[in-house]
Parts: sequence; C-alpha cells; structure tokens
Amino acid sequence: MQTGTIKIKTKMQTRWMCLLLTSGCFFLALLWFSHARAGTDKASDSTWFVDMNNYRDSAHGSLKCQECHGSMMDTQKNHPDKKADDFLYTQTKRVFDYQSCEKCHKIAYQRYLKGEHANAGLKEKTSGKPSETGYAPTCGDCHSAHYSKSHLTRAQTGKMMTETCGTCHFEQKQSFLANYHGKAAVNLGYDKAAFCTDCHGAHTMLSLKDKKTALTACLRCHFDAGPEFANIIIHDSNKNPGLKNDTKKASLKWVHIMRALSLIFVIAVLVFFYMHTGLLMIRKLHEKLRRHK
Amino acid sequence: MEANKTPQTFQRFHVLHRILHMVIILNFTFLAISGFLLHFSGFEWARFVVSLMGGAGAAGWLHRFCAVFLYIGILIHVFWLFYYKIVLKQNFCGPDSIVPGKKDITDMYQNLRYIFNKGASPLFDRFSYLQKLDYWGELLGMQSMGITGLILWFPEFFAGIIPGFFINIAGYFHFYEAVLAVMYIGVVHMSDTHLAPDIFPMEKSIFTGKIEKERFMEEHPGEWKRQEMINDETAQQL
Amino acid sequence: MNLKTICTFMVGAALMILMAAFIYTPAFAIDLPDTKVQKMTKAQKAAKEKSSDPLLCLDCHRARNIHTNEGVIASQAFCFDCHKDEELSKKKGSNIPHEITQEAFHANQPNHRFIACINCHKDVARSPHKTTLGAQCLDCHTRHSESPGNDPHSRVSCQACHFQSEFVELDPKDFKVKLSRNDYDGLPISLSDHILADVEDEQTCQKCHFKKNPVGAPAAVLPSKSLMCIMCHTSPFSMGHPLFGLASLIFIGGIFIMIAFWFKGSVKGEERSLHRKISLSSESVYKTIFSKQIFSLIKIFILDILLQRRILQESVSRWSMHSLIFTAILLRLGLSLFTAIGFYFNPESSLLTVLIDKNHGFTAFANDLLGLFILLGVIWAVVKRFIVKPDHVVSEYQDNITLILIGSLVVLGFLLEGARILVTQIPCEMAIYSFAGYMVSKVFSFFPLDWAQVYPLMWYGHGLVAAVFIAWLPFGKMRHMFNTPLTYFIEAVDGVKNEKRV
Repeated sequence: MQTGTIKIKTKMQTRWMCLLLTSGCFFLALLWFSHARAGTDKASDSTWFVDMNNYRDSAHGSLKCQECHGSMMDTQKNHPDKKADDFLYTQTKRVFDYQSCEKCHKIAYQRYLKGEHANAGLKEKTSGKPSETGYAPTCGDCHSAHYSKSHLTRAQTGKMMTETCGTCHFEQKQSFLANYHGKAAVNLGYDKAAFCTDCHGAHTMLSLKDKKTALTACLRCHFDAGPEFANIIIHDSNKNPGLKNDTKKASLKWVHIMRALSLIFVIAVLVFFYMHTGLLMIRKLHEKLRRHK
Repeated sequence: MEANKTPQTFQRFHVLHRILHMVIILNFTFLAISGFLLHFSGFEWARFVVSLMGGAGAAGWLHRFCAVFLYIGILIHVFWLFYYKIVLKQNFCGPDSIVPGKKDITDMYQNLRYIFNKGASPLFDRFSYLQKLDYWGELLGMQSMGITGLILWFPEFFAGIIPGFFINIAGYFHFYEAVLAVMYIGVVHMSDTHLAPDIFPMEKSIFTGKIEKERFMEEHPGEWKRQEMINDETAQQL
Repeated sequence: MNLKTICTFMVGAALMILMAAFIYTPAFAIDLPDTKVQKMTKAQKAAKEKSSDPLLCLDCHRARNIHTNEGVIASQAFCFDCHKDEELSKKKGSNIPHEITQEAFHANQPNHRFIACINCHKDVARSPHKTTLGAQCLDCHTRHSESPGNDPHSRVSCQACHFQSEFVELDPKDFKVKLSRNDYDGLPISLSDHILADVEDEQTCQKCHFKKNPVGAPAAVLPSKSLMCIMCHTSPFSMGHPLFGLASLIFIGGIFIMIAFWFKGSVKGEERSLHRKISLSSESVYKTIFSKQIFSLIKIFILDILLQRRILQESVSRWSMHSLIFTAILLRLGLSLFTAIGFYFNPESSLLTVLIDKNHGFTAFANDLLGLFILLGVIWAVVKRFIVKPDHVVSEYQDNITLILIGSLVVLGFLLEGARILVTQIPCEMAIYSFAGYMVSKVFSFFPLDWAQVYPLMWYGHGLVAAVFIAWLPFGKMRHMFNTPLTYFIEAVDGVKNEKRV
C-alpha cells in the first residue's frame, strides 16, 4: 500500500498558518470564558458605608449628608443607639422619609403617587403588613440615592432599568429580553425600541392588564395599531399567569402549543435527514476507498 | 480525473438558474446572519458583529432588504415553472422535471437499501430526490418564511386581519423555520455538494453550468441513457 | 578531575542551594499597625462619651479603602467594635453570641489578617444586619480541580470542608451542601470563631462521609481519581489509590516490554547493540519529524487513525462498530484532557467550571451519550461475534476479554452514575440531562438498599475493573492501540525512504 507517499508542494506556509491558528484557537477557548463570572461582586449599595469616590460622581454628589438625612443633633438620640428596640433591625428603605425627594423631584413624585406601586403602598398601610411579594417599592427601592449617575443616554438608562425592574419582576424581565423589543433595545442598544417605562409609564407604573390602556401604550410607536393589536403578547412566559387577563391566558396556551409543535417538527426533520446524509456519506466513502484499493 | 485531455462537458444549468442560485446564496447568508444575531444578541460577540454592521437599525434594514431580494428570486423560480410548462411545453411529470413524482419514492427506497448494503445505488434522473427536496424545501419554506416575516414586519396591518396572538406564533414559526433551514442547508445540502467523496471539495456545476461526462454518467445515469438515445454528440439542452 | 567535572559539580551545588532556598522560608512575625486600631477605637469611644468634639457622619460612614492595610484595620475595627462584645453580638431572642475579637480572628485566620470583614461578608454591612450571600471565598480564591475535592464536591460550599464545624446540611434552595447554623438537634450554633479545619485530615471528610448522613454523601471516604482515569474522566495529576499506582506501573512496564519487543529485530543492519539500535531509530524518527514527511504523517494520523479510513475500506458495519467505541473514548479523552489541562491554567474560566461539574446539563449529556455509544459498540460486537457469526469474524479469547473489560467498565460506570444520582438526591430537572444515569437511579430507587453504603463498593468495583483494564492494555488485544498507528506511520515513511526498520 502506498497511502502515505504524498508530494508536498509549496503549501508549507499555509499549513503552518493553519497550525498556528488552531493552537491559537485552543488557547483562546481557554481564556474566552474567564470574564463571564463577575456576578456576585456588587451585592447591595445600601450599606453603612458610603463610597465617596462614587458618591461625588453621582447625580446627588454636590449634596451634603444633612440635606437629606437631617442632622443627628436634632433628634437628640444616640447614634448608633445600641439600646434601641430595632437596633440592627431597621429596614432602612422603609424607615427613611422619601418625601424629602419631593423637594426637588416634584413631577416624578406626583406621577409615582398615581401608579400601581403607590397603590400597593396604600394597601400596605391599611393592612399594616407587606403583601406576599414583599414591600411596596418606594423611591429608594429602584433608585440609588448615593450612586445614581446623571446624563445617561436612553439606551444606558434602559439597560439599567431592565435590571432594576427585573429584580422584582423577574419573569417579566426574562420574557421582555426574549421579545424583539427587549433584544433590540437592551441587548443591541437600539434606542428606538421600547424599554419598560415606554409602555408602563415612567414613575406611573401602569399594569396594562386593561386592553385600552395597553393600546394607548402601543400607539406611542405603532401609529396604525388597531384594537386587536393590544392582544399581541409581549411577556409571553407561562409564569405569573395571574398578571394576565383571560383572553391572553387562552391565547398564550395556543402560542406555546404551536411553538412546541414547530420544535418537534424541526427536530424530526433534522434527525431523519442528518441520519440519511450521514449514512449515505459513509457508504459512498466506503465504495470510493474500495475502488482505489 | 483519470483522462488527461480536458473532459467532455455537458450543459446542465441555464444561466438564469445559475444567477438565481448565487442571489439566493448571498441573501440567504445575510438573512441568516442578521436574523440569528438578533436572536443571540444576549452574547457579547453578537453585539460586536451587530456594531460592525452599523447597529441594530442597520442590521434590521439589511434583513428586510435581503428578504425582499431573496423573495424576488423565489418568485422568478415560480415564474420559471410556468414558463417551463407553458412556453417550453414540457411535461411536469416527465423525467427532466423538478416536480417530484412516483420515481422519487422508489428511488428513495432503493437508496435506503443501498445505504444498508442491500442493493445498488438507484439510477437517478436529471434531479435526484435529494436535489428535488432541496429545491422544494427552499421554494415552499421561503413562502412560509415570507408570510411570517411579513407579519412580523407589519404587525399593525396584520393585527387588523388576524388575532393578535398569531403574531406571537408567527415569531416562533419564523425562528424555528430559520433554524431548520440553516441546519438543513448547512449540513445536508453542504455535505451533498461538498463532502460527498466523488464531489469533494466542491460541486461546481451550479456555478459553471456544465457537468463533466464522467460525473454525468455516474450521478444522473437515467438522464444519460436518454441523452445517448437522442443524440450521441454533445446535446445542448435547456 | 578535569575542568568539566569541576564545573558540573559547582553548577549542581549552586542549583541545590538555590532550590533549598526556595523551599525553606523562615517564619517571621508581623507587626500589626496597632496604632491605627487604637485611633479608631478612640474615635468610637469619643462617640460614646459625646465629647465636645462631635463626630461627623463620614468619620464612620465613609467606605474605607480596603486595599490598604490601614483601611482594612479601620474597617475591621468598625465591626469588632460590636462583635468583640458577647452581649452585643447576640442575635435578638437568641443566646448564641456571634463574638469574635480581633486577636482571636488574627490567631484563627492568620492568612486573612489583612482582609477586611466586608471583603468576604459583602452584604452584611447594612440595616437590617443580615446576609443573603454568605461569605464569598471564590472572589479571591480559585476553585480547586478534581483532586482531592473531586467533582461531586462542586456542589459543596467552601466552608463546609474548610471550616471547623461538624454540622452540615443540604440547602434545598440551590442544592448545595453548606455548613449548618444549627446542630443536629436543631439548636442554633455560632460559627463566628472562624477556625479553619485541617483538610488533610480524613476526620474532616468524615463530617459528611458517615453512615446515614443528611447531605447525601457516600458512607465512606473514597480515594481521588487517578491520572489513569483520564481516558474517560477528568482526573487530577496524581496517582490516587495504591491499586491505581500498581496498575499504572504494570502499564508502564508493559509499554517497555512492548518497545523492547520492537527493538528485537535489526535496525538498519545493526543486529546486536541495543544502544546503537536506539540511537539509529531515534535519529530517523527525528529526521522524519523535522522534514516534510511530517505532513504526510499528520494526514495519516487524521485519516487512518482518527477517522479509521482503512476499516471503512473493509466494511461499513465494522467501521461503525469500531468507531462507536473508539471515537467515543477518544472524544471523552479529548474532553477530559482539555478540562484537566485547561483547569490547570485557568481555573476561573466558567467554561471549565461547567465541564468539571458532572451535573451540568452539557457535561452530563455528553458523558452519558458517549458512554452509551461505547456500550452500543460493545453490544454490536458481541452480537456479531456470538449470534450472527459471519465467516470472517474469528473470535479469539483475547477479544472476548477486551469486550468483557470494556463492557463491564461502561456498565459499572452507568450503575455508579445512577447510584450517585440517587445518593446525592439531585432533583429531577438537574439530573435529567444524564438521561441513562437518571433512568438507572429510578430503577435503583425501587430497591430498599442503603445506597450510600453500596456506592463505595460499586466505586471500588469500577476502579478495580479500570485498573485491570489499564494494566492489561499493553499485553492483550488492546495493544493494537499502539501497534496499528505505528505500523501505519512506518508504512508511510517506508514508502518514501525505506530507512527506518524496527
């Protein structure tokens, strides 16, 4: 048998290039994923310590502590008050008086009072305890008082917004990111696509369960939208079905059935033809090797 | 291959079909790239490629532009079928036709037997059943891709005609069929035209329009026999 | 003694001294920046006494630069100010103090003296004063690879092994084994002393590995995998159990015997001197490798060895059968080599963390699928040999031993995987990716055995068969792993220059 006697021509260089490239790829593959794990670094920004470098750069950087927190001298209490009942148990965000924000952010505060988050807050006050999903959010739950940056672009704000809303509305964040709006807006930074507040209102936080409200939201961008347009499902995940109205629940079932069917179809077709081609290629190769014996 | 003189060649594809094939390759590639970039936009590399393309807006524009071009190509193919029947007065059920017929089923059975070493390879005619499948898969698949794509392009208009959640379904159909098309073309069609040991590294007849005598006899023996009967010399068909 | 010898001796001696210097590092005491602590505590004392000089907000509430020693000590002082006090460090309504003084901390964790508390306990410095993350070790430390904390331990938190506390629990939320905050009677305990455990001591392992343990650990402490396991599993660069060491020794011995057998013939006319034979043949190997011929050898390696061209030439069914076994083992070898070597260089990589975690979807699926391929190939071969019996298949006893060894190795592997899934109580949605192992575990769950005790037995069974297989490699049929490629290479080289003869 004379299989190995192949004359090498002037292709040496290309081969070395190939060799270098493959080894390079191998090392790249080793290094590529090493940056992916950085999630646990930022725990919570409401700690006892204020990072003055970041604070100075933030939107509130020019304010003095007393302007929001008041003077500790006024209260005539020890600080820290180790004898106090709730020492180390204070829920900072519940205790802080966010009406002090209204001093500067009047419009935002008024809008907030109209929306669902404030409604939940009212319910909480009357019942005296938080709902099962947690406390109703106030300013500090979404906005960082110490480190919020100012002068961000629309896409930057939108990206941060998706994260912020997503800490509580996780399913909504996931389904938004699976939708064309989320992909274009958050992932690709396309600022003509809609972020959370574009539909749900900035600080107002509408639920959009009502079809008419939803349609008004759609009409902001889709000028020709008709009444049926509001039946398109943006957050099409199966979780949290309680947040959807009945027609949406029914149609969501159909969407998932059709999705599963098309997936099964794709897999069936591919499996059949991959096996067909694979076996055919092996058979043909066998025949060819036989012929050249 | 074995012969030293330049091999005798026969015309296999019309210029129109060669150009159309190239148009479809180009647009299909761009469509697949820009489409899947949107789907995988959660990854850093996808964002990088999109930024190279000029941002999400430009990539979306490219996707729609290529879709229109590809669909024009498909339409010309459909018109060709009519031209083939009406002007050229050819028979759809004839052996030269791209339309699937009874012989394809027997061919497939024969080929499966061949795969499992139970018989000889079938005598394919002008188009083997796999080639017909490529053709019709593309032709029909692009219709549904086109319709679902249009629904996603003009949701305001279509929501006036069909229920709103059909647009969600169209989105999923569009994605899964894209996966099917890319995975099918990328593996089955590519191995048929590049990896098959007699063809490796590449089947050129769709670009040059010509097929060598050896390969003609080997891969389309049915047509070769008829060709010989009609005319021994180089016959220029189509 | 000539000059050369003297030089050699001197260089050798210098090297030895240098090495010794590297190994020997004398212990020396470190002076803490005590003054800073004093200053800080003084400042806080001043706050208590409400002296005339009032504290400003930022005296306490400024985030310290914990990348400097002074900042670390100041930051620690903030925490120790309360935690040094037994009464103050008690949780409300509980009697367990979370008490730790700076001196105790420095004594118990000498390596973390200059690490601020909030560097690890990232989310505790807040009100309400509690943590959800726990201490973060992996922000600074890298995860260790296969040995000795082998991969089932990727679901065990660092503290569970490295902290001196005998109570562990299985957290139902993220399915990790963690240190428990309660003892086995349900009473709360304090973990605030920060004393590290001696992980070299087997007693530390026995806090999980005992009979009827609550965290789903096998009832016995098993040895780590050995380098010889790399054919199918990611393995450490160590010998593991002495049995594996013995098997590897036999393997290496067998390889030498095999090579010696190759050199029995004549090399380029040289009949007798082994030294001459070796030098001649290595010379020609060297010449071949650094010549254009290497490309034809690479081609042969890819086509004839990896893709098994010559077997395909003979028969499609033989090729399919052989490839099922060969390619699957080759892929697993490639995967485990990539993981082992990659982990050595870049343990932070999330890709390699995925590959080393047996329960991760991809790794579990790939391992199960490839294992199943091997099994399928073996079954095919058995059917061909003993049921179909075509004329050209001659079944020697060596073939049968090979099939029995590989078959039992794979079957035991699947049984072991099933038992592992059952014992560690992995939830369905995590275990479903190892589809074969999961089915086995479902079957096992019908038998009311104490699988935590059966698992070590099965493990030793699998290890024993693996050891026999490795030891037997250079002697039996599997020798063709080395012989056949070599024959192909020599054929190829001979076709060109007809020089090397071994």
